[in-house]
Amino acid sequence: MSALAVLMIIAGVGLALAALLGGIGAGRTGALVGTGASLALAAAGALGIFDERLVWRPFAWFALGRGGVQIDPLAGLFLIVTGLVAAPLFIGSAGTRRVALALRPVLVLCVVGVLIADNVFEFLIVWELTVVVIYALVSAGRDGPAAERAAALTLTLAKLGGAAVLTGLVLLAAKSGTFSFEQLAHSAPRLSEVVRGVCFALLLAGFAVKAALVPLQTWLPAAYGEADADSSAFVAAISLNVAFYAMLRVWFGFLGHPALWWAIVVLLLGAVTALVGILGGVLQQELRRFIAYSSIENAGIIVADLGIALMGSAQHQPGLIGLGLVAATFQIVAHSFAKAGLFAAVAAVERGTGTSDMARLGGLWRRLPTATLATLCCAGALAALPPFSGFVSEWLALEGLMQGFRVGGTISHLAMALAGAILALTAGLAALAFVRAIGMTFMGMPRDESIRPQRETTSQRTALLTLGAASLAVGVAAPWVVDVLQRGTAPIGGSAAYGHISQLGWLIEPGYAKFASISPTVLILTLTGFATGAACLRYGLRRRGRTRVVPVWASGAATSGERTQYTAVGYANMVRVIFNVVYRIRTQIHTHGDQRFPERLSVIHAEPRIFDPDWLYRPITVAFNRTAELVRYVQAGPLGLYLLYILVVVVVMLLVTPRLA
Amino acid sequence: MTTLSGPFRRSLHIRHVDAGSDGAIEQEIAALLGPHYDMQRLGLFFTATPRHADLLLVTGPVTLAMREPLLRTYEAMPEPRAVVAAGTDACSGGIWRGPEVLGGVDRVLAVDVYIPGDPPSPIALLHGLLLAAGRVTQVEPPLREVSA
Repeated sequence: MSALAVLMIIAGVGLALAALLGGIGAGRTGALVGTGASLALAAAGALGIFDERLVWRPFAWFALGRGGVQIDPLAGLFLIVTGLVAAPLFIGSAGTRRVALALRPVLVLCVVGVLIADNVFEFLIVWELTVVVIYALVSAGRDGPAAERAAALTLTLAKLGGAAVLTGLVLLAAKSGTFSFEQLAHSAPRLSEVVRGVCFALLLAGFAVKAALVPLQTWLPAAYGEADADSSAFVAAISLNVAFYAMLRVWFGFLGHPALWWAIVVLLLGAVTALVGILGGVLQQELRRFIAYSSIENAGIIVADLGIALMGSAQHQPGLIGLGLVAATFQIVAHSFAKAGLFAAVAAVERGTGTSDMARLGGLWRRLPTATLATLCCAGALAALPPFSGFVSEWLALEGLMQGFRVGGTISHLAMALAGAILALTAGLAALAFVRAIGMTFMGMPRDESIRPQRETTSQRTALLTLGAASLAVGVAAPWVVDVLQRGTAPIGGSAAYGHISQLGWLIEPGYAKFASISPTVLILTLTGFATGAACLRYGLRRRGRTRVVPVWASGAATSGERTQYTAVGYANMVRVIFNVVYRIRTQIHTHGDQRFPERLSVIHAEPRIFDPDWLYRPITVAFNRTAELVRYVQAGPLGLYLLYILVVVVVMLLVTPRLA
Repeated sequence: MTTLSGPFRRSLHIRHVDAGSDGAIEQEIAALLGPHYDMQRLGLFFTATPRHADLLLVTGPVTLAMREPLLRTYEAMPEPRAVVAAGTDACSGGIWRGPEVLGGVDRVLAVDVYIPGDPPSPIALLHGLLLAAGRVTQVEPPLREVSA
């Protein structure tokens, strides 16, 4: 048995054991076992990328083709990310609800199942299992109608998406005559363009739900808002990646040469999703809901990156394929670590203060220094600030979109330019939104005297520091990360796309030689050097003297500093005003008779249509309810009736079967 | 010699707090800024925030309501700092008595320079400020013979 197989078995057994221990209430031990299993998973992934390929197809699913598991570099890449993100999350995760403790390892297990599935049938089973586990995690979070509604929305949308995935994959399998992934990769690309187009559209719809693309994104903020923060970390940082893995595997692996419209649709859908996500996020009052919206934004960026790769594939530009794939996977890696860190920080904040409402928090850096530090690193990554991981991936994405002049056709040019402009706008808004989130929560002064924050626990600190450091390390080690990502995406990008991001020592030169290059490593070394130098100067030249600590000067009158700082609503107000075309939020000025002396300003917060696409959901709901009415005639309830149905079926079977034989 | 002697020869920033004045001395202070006395030529400036101030100029008897703001202002000033009580009310509480009036500024803060007079003339104010800055020395008034 190979080392890879041994590691996978250790990981699988470990995760199952962690789930069991969580279920019987031994959460601490379970978490440690889960951490070990996750590390084994990451090690297996590393073997899968660099060393060996695990192919194990021991049995046949009746008529559904050979079954088993396979770990190729792409699966290995995602296994590394899953393992490395899950390990600190297990360490830091806490909670008293046994259901949640047991379900988190199960979720990881399901994700691993999706990554190593080697057969359409298996893939669909674990895909749906993931949905069910996410549903259970969301409903295990809090009690009350809001949580129930969020869980129901999550499940319903995921089921609709699952149906689309099922139809698309089964259509693909039926047309190419095999369920096995290995054979699909050979036969599916030869199908007619119409069939592949229909499959692509169905799969896009299905994956769009999981990745939370516009207009199917509504479940994500609801679900992350209701699940407990630790579980949200698992869902956001680990199970969201399943959607991107599926896109990479199916679109690039099975569907062959893409039509141009696929690339344009994916590119623009991704860009619009990113913008809608950050526009929704920048106004959120609750920290965890903002982080949820940021997931939508990141999903949009990743999908836009995939659009670049599809564009390269459709236009025979191998450089663009390589660039798009590496940008997408880099963003996936950056987002996973950063999002896990942010949700771990939210968990620390919520445990310490009992709320994540920015209107009541503030000045938490004094009491929660580790959470603040981790949030700074992770937010830096997601806001695409230089030394952190997200900077490299967003730079690669924009670099790819700037290569628009290399593709042919006005529509492609326009799509690339438009996506570039939208992503640039998104990046700016994201920076603003993260400054706001950190500023309102961790900086400034406490807004609510009744909140007495508790410090983080040691295990939480470990998790937070690990994830924060990872966000920094991925950015600093970018040239080497790019190398790993190129190996990981090699099976789907094809040999022509490989090696287009040349790594000249510490320099990254994406796509095309002598066009642009960057060295994040040198950048951070320089920045650190400057910062250290400035700090040395500051301390070397400072006058020795007594330091007197006095309150913030907020006029001699009895106003407190707490009242004279930005509020979350106020900080984002300019965005609300500028983009009110999208938001359509009204304000109302309350006065006591005299118009010149406003008493109070209230913001009437109707959820904009783009964030709550009722126009899309209502017809589906209505149709569903009509169908349910019809089904009720058949399914009336009495046991006798059902027994009669069974009898009728048996009789029919008896009548029909001999004739078939 | 006050705490401000030495480094404030050319520039001294003053924060003025009215701790309950009758308004007479404020008129004299306003005259300091005019072309006649022109206190800026001596490097004396009024500032809007105690964070920039070297000297706290207090007028009026300290009322109960102004005690906290006065202390808060003093607390917000960087060191070294000096306190000048200007006017009879600030020096001793003057004619004011009652539960709402605490009396002279020295009931609340340590005062470096007292400027008597109700109100003191602008030139007396200037002298007091320069005295606080350590730029003039205090001259004892010559003892006058009092004929019996």
